[in-house]
Amino acid sequence: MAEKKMDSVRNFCIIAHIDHGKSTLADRLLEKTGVYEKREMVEQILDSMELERERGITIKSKAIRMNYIAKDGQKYVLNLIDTPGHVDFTYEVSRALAACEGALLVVDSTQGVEAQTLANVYMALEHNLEILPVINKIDLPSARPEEVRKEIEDVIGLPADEAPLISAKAGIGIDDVLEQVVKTVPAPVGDPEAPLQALIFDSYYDNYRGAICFVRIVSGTVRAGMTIRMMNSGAKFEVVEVGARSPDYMPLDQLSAGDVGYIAASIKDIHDTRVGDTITDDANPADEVLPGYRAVVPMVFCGIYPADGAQYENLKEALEKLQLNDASLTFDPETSQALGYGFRCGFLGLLHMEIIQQRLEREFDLDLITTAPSVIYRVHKTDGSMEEVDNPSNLPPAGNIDYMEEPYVSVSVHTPQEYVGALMEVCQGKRGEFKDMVYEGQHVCLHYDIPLSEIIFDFFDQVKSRSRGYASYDYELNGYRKSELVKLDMLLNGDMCDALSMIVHKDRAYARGRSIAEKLKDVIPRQLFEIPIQAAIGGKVIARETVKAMRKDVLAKCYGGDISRKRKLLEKQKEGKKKMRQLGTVEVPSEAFMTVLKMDE
Amino acid sequence: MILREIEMEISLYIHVPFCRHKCDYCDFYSLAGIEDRLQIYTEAVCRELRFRSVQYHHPRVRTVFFGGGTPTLLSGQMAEKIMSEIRSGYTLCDECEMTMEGNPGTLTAENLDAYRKAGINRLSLGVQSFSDTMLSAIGRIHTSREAEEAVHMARRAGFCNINLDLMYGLPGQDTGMLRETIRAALSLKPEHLSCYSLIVEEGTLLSERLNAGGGAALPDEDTVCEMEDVIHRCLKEDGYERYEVSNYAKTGFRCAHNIVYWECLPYLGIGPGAHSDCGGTRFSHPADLSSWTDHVMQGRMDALDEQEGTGSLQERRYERMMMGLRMTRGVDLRRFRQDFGLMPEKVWPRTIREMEEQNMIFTESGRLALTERGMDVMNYWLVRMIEEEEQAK
Repeated sequence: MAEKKMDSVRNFCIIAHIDHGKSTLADRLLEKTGVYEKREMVEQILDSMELERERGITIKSKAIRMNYIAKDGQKYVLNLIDTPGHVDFTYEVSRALAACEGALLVVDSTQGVEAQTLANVYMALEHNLEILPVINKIDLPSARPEEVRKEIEDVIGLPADEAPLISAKAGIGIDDVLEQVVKTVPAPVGDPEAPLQALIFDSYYDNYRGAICFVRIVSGTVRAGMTIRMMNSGAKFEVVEVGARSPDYMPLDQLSAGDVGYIAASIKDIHDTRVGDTITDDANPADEVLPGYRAVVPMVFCGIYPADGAQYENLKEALEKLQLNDASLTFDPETSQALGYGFRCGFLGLLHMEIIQQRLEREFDLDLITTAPSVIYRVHKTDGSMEEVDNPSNLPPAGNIDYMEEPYVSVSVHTPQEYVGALMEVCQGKRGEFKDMVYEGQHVCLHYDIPLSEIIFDFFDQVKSRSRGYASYDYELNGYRKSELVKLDMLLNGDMCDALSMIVHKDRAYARGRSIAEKLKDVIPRQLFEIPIQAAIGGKVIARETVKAMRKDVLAKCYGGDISRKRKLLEKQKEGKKKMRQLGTVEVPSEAFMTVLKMDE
Repeated sequence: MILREIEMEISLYIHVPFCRHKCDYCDFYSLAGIEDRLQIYTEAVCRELRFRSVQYHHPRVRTVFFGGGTPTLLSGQMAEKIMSEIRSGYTLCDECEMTMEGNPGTLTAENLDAYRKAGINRLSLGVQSFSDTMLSAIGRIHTSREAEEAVHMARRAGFCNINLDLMYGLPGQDTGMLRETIRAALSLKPEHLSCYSLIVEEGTLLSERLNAGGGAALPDEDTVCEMEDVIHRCLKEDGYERYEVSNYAKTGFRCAHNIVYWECLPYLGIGPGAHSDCGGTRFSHPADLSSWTDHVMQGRMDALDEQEGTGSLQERRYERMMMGLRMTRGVDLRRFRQDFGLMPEKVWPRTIREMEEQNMIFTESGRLALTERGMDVMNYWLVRMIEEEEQAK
């Protein structure tokens, strides 16, 4: 059986620094190859979720097939695979890259090579992709394409003499890009007769067809009627349809080695279509799974509660709907004394958490209260047993705890040399343990072991601000370590508020407690009585602030003509109070629960 | 069966929407620099009064109030014309209180004399402050000296019921400055004092200036509270009784007209932008001098009123509390039950109970009244009442 070259197929992705024009270029390519008529183009097709478009982040990757007749008269099938662009989704990105042979590197000709440009190049190189620089926005007055061309060669070390000069926005040079893709991106190689190995790089839940897998066929062939098996999960399904999206589902007779497309197999649960898993033919299975698979597990947890308790069922339904499409989201019911009934939800990271939160609020019109994010701690008890705790309220009494462990991640920070010092400080400040430092030309890769709980706070912001955006990082869980952890409680008017509790490192507790107390003092409005706010560790108060009693809340003037206006004013005041939670005798605004999230010690 | 009209007793409010100069904090309907239209305005007021007297069958009038704007821009003759219209179309009660608001900067001895002769028996002067710095900071046209002079002039004209309006919490004001103003006010021995904490209304010159960070800043919440304490103390010592959130009077000199509002009794508003609650319905006029004048002069009265409905029972009883609790004597319980069929503690059981427990409210002589602390945080309780009623639904 021989490896075969699929001469008429090209699989590629687009990588770019944010705002350098990745999505616009994708749109132009789709338009040019007739996937979309110009008039039906909604801006930026690939980012179909409203939130994605707004935040300029591609959350889920997708693949679209284009038919292109090149200048040599040959017909080509071009598969454009879109990739998400945030550290929470690094793993998904890596799988999408593994499905490609080449990458278009879009560089803004007014900005030049930027932080994310580098980070993306590193990642593409790791997957041995052919990188094809494209210089964009040449129609702008401040464009300096030739300088940027040189920059690409000097800074990144990529030959750029043939880089097309384009304007995705104005539609200039799009043909050149397509020609280059055909010319430069290697044709995929694989044996269509070999046992099936298909890499799942994305999946999507369709209300009518169940979970649909987007795959890159590495070897073999898949067609309808075949019984397939997910090699890592073991689940088996009968294939209903194979095809490609362009942009609608376009059924094909088969997908074979080198192809990119979808497989529909009446899969009811999206958890059976794990990104990175290998699909094989159950009757004639491959010997090996494809490398790089990782079970995606949520690492960050928080409580999500409806601001209005009556919306509990709506929240549940909304979470169920989101989960259909998002295998990395988990949720379980939980109750809080302060917040009532809600869910403990698990996420890949903080961005993932924010996205879910915003989608719940926007797409399902829910008002939410979110508690401080937490990681999973391991609590070893004096009786020798071990418990995993992702909610501070569930921490056993201190007397029953022998010791605790917290998850660590190994973090790789890629940065230009000049920021090494600043970034080492950031890592050190996050209780990081230095592992090593590798020079890669102009760039440095720092390796640290850092507690995950430190990463989920403001590590991303700090890395970006201390390196002026040039550094990037990714991380991988690397086990648990013993750690001196304590439970920090907040007391309002003497009553503990479970929704504000958190597990923190002993050395951090005092500063955190003080800072949260100060912030709560600012966000809790004055009430009829003075409200003491205390931070406590195991019953010992470590910080105290006071919200003074409200002195005056009365309308100075109210006469005949004012009556309806003043009544409306009071009604408005009442509406404002609806955003408050009654905790015992204290009214706490929803944003108070967010203050523990926004730490800047 | 013969239906006899129940004779109504109402109060009259006449809105005079003219000013020499618009004050920086003012959001009432008034216009500066069009005093040439006072004559036609007077004409229109008389027309409307005539129309209303027929509409309401020559009602009895409890009180009359000229508010503004600056009613003292009316000439003696104009005031006389309006007053005689009132006398002919309405039956004035005995000792009917007839107030005219005025700006100290616009008073003349002749006008005062004429007002007096026309029947005006109470004068309410917008003094606001006795500090010239403060006065110019809020865009008043007069000086403290003129304010003092105005009071003396009014006394000479025979006014023996004078109110002074004061404001506190002004930009750049401190407690010491307020004390000075109180001292100056008390030395003039007014029968009545209204002391308002400044409300910065949206869309006013003052609010724009403050938002832009211009001029002196407002004193902070605690300072304003302190100022209020100073006012309470000083006025009490001088023999004034606080009978409403912002109003103080010597015995026998409470403002009967304003009490009509707080008791939720009927009143009829005449003039552009005026509100009425009369004959069980509420309505208002467009806050537009030209439109109002045109309607009245062309006899299109039916098109003039913007109906605001009768107000549901629920709204009415809530407003009775919202207004009535502003008075230190509180809400008349017998009337409350008569009008709404239930006592307040049945309508808002939880809130009223809590208020009692926390010593915020008490019942005395058939009236439900707020304690001093209760009055300070009145909005809190009023909001609670809305919430309770909503939850009960």
